Amino acid sequence: MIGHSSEILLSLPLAGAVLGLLWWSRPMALKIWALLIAASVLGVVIGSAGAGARYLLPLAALAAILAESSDKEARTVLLGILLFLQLGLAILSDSGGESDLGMIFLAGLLGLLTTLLYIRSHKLNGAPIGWGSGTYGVGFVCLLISMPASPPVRDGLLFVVYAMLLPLFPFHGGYLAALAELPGPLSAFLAVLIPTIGLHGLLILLPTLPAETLQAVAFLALAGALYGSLKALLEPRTARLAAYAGLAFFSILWWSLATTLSDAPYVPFYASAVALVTEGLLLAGHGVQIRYGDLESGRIGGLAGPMPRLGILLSLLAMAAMGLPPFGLFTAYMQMLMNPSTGASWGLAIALLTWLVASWYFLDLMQRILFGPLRPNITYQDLRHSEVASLLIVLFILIVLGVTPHRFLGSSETPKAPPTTPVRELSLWTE
Amino acid sequence: MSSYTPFLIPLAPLAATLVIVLCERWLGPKTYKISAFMLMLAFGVSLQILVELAEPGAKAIELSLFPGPQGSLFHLGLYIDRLSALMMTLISGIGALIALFSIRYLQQDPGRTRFFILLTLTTSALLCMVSSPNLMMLFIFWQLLSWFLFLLSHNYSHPATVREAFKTFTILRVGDVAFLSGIVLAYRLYGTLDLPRLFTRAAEVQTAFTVGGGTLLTINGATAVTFLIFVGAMSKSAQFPMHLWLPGALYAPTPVTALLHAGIINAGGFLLNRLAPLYGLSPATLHLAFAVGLVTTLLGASMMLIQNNIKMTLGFSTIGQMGYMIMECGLGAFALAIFHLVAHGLFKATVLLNCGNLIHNARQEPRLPPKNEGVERVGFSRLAWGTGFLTTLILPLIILLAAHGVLRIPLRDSQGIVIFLFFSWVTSSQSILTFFRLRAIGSWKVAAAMLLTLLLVVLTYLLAAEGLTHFLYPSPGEVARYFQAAALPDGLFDLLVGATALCIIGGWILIYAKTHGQTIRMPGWLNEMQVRLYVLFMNRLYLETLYSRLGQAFIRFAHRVDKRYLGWLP
Repeated sequence: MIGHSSEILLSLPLAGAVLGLLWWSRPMALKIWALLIAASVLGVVIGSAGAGARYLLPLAALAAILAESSDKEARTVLLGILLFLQLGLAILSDSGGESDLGMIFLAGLLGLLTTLLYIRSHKLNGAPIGWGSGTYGVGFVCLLISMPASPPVRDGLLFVVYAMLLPLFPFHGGYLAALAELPGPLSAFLAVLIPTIGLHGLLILLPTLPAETLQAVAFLALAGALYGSLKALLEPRTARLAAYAGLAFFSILWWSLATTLSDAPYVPFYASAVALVTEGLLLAGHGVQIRYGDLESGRIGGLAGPMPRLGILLSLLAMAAMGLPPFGLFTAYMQMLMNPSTGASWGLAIALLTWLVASWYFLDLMQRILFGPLRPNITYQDLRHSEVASLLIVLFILIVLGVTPHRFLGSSETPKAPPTTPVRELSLWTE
Repeated sequence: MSSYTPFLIPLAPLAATLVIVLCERWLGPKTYKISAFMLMLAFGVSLQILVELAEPGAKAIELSLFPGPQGSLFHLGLYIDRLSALMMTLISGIGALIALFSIRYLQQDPGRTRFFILLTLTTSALLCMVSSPNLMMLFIFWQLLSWFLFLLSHNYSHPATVREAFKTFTILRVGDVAFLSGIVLAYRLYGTLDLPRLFTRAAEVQTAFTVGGGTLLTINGATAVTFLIFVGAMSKSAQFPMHLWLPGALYAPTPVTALLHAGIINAGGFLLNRLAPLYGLSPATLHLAFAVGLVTTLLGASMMLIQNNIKMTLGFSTIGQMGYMIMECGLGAFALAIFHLVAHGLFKATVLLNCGNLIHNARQEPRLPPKNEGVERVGFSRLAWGTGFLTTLILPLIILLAAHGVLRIPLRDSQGIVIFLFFSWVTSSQSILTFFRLRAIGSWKVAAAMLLTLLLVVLTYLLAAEGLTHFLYPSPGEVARYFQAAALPDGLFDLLVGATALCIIGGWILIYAKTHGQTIRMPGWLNEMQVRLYVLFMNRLYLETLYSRLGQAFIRFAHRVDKRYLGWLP
């Protein structure tokens, strides 16, 4: 059932995007307008009951809009963020997850992503069709076919769609392209939106999936965690590294979901933490990119001295991304690992390995960007106040998630302790 | 004292951080004095609590901060028993001294603000870690320490420090993951992370940990948990082969090095002591700790002798001392390890804070030694040698026989007592050897110095063994249980004691011969081996090169796999 506040949610960002065209010739005014719309949506969400993960979308949009510059190129990005926010809120408002309206909005999201990625790919590489547009194009077709289909086929097709959104190896091409190829702040917002939508649908679909499928999912998830970690380790560009790291961390979530079959409180909390970390890294990467171009992170170094704001904020983001306390990813990771229904198996070992390798590549990224000798031929300019504010929003939510997750997401943080009997045997590596 | 006063201990350094961050622009260098005052305040409160807890029958202080639901994973609070109080006093005391020292030492240094922020944060994290009521909180601050150490030990415009800081964090992170694995396993097996309940459950619940359905391996649950946590302790306390980060971290400014040597590196020893009841259930892990500690001691001390840089020498000395400390834990002498930790912390803080001045002075205009130096008489002194022989070989034997025969202490069944006696013998022998090498003056002064050394060492060990053991582990029978769990097989124990005794006596003979101007004929292979070992230790066993090459090989392999097999994937 769609409530009164949901109706407002369903119309506010779209109306904002349409009215925003009035300020097309004045990018600064358009940015302020977009900020007001995102803040209003946040206000409505706070006022509505059971907001859950919907808090995240306007907050992520606010952060992304703040990080965007106020030049002419920014206009499409700002309107794009509002449009995607509209689609995301509409999909999340559909609590059943599979109503026609929800499906239509989901098709709209996939269609828009396909189109944007096609245009971007064509503009950048001249390629006829890239991995991103191809993947989401297939997802769009799958969704269309699933609408009239009946359960086993429908569930299978929807599963493929959700595996593209909440990235699961080897369906992750779209997620990767959206984060690495689309313009900075838009891709940063999508880093939160896409997995949130994917998880929303998946949690509804999960109980219907057969055991064999779940076993295959667990296997693919572990393969994805290794693949994502390996690629992130070798990746010199910030955006792609963040995207591969996102794949690795979401793969661990897939593995947990496939083995526990439960929507434990930590699931949305973990997904939110990973999504926010990815958004923060993309925004920080965007801050460097607009100043020095799309360089490999090793080509521009020593920014800690001349750009102290970036230095501090990127260090904090790296801490969060490495799963260090007091940020949300650490808390969520601990809850996942301590969950007694999470199997103690090779999967657990790979989850820990993913965590360890993340420390390696995130620290390396941080060092490549921040440390090293200064270059005399560069004029250094630190982050603007709006950029600082955008990263502070991300860090603030991550800290809130880390310190009081249940207050933010409205769920208990306490996992059930495993039962203890006088004689117990814990079998490992056999599952 | 108010019931919430103990919170002042970790909060005072944290408040100092806030003062520096928020007020440094207006108050200038005064903020550093305020931070030193805050650390002294933490020291004062810690000392007061230590005194209160030293009263007979005093109970540990338990305080909750944001108490969560029953069984909550993230229960923050304070658990201050005697061990915590002692550690808090040490950490806050050394932190305050370092802060006071750094105010002048880092004057006009552009990184002074960053240093003070990190110093106060690190001190606060250390204080929270040692007063954690559960493993999760301990792990949280354990990890933060890894991060602060990374930040403290690098200078972002100096490539070598950046490289070494990366290595430091990577090695510490490996330890963190092992520690986390131990925590996960403990929670799965015992259903709690609260320390007192964890110890009770671990003692009650018989657990087994199987690999490959039991066909490959079956391990006792407590052994698996303690082993994984021990790997974490190895990383922080620079145990072989995870010791490589420590020499690299010495690039940092002197106050940072002092804090590292006097505070952070003790985390491993503290962890083993904090979890002593759990380790007491696992003889296998204790034996492993003994072996790792022994190897680290030997290698650390050997490499220390060959370094030609004062900071490196002190760094490898710390590695050797940490090995000694872990070895003591492995022998069940947990209280002795704490004594060692405290003494070493104070000693190294003093030495390291002073070594900056030494280096600074050495860099001044070259100065010839005073004329009266070098007139020392070199030669053989019957009095000195006689006293040395008496104090290091005959007296311990008399003590041993008296203990066995007169006091009727069953030495064959009490490895712990033998260890105490043996430690005091080894330490006094080493001290006397060192004294003798420094001063070859044959007079009653040397003889008196030798006797005093022996007396001091024996009394100190007795004090540490008796006083600290009863202070930290007052429950009757607890210490005996640890010694029993750590007991080595009789043959092995005798072999180790015998081998060490032979080394000491052999050392005496070699020095005696050298003093007489005689040479002992050594087989050629032994001389050759000596040279090879020298080169090997000079290059720190080539471990740094090996690790570096392994890392590079892994990256090359990953690139090859990526290009050959994964290149077609997005």
